[in-house]
Amino acid sequence: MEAKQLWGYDKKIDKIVYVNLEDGNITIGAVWFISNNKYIGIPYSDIANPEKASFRYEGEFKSPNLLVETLNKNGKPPKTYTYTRTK
Amino acid sequence: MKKSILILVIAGFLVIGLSEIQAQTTQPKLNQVELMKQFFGNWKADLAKDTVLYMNIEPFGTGFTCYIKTVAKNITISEMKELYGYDSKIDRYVAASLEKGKDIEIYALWFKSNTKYEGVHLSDVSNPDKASIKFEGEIKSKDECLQTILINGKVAVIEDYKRIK
Repeated sequence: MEAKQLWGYDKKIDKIVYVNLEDGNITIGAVWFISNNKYIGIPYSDIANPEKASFRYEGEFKSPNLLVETLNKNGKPPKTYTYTRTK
Repeated sequence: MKKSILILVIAGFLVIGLSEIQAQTTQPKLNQVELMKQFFGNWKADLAKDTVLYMNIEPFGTGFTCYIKTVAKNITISEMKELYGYDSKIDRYVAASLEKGKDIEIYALWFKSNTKYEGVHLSDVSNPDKASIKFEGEIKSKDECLQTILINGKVAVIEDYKRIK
């Protein structure tokens, strides 16, 4: 699997918008921080109603080198991903 | 009896006529992924005296990446990265465009014939003729592409891209 993403700030919605291109599929998402180290991400199409988003991920920077992200998809058990910074 | 034969003949003509009309108006679906391959490579466009836009487009899966740099008198005055991918749900390409120092923008782009394409903000894709910003382009040859940017229906910029090595 290989993916490319492009991220940028959109002041109209005060959120980061990204495009993800992976395995021939393109998806658009929106991400925003809710505190200095916690953020939320949802599909861009759900931006007007984030509480009803088809999926939602919540991330937390535990330290500058450790990120824990939990994906909640409707009706599925949450999945947790742990990212460690590499050199 | 004669009347029913006449009705059958008229119905037959109508069916033949309708199928001919359909054959004239129904065009085969364009292969957006194949058509976009015409853009791959390096391009330049002279925007003004001593101002040149350089564009590099590289394939990635069914999509592609694009890097654009504008140089005026040997000084880079703007840089932009774009990521394009095919969205089968709308049969169009979706692109994120990020220019240094500006907000990200999301576009939809599609070919409407083998050589002509158009693009609008993704939010305007269901009604492109009413889009405030619209791109209209034509692949003139494998080495030349002419693109017009329309703002509120009026021509704002015409860019003539020429392929370079």
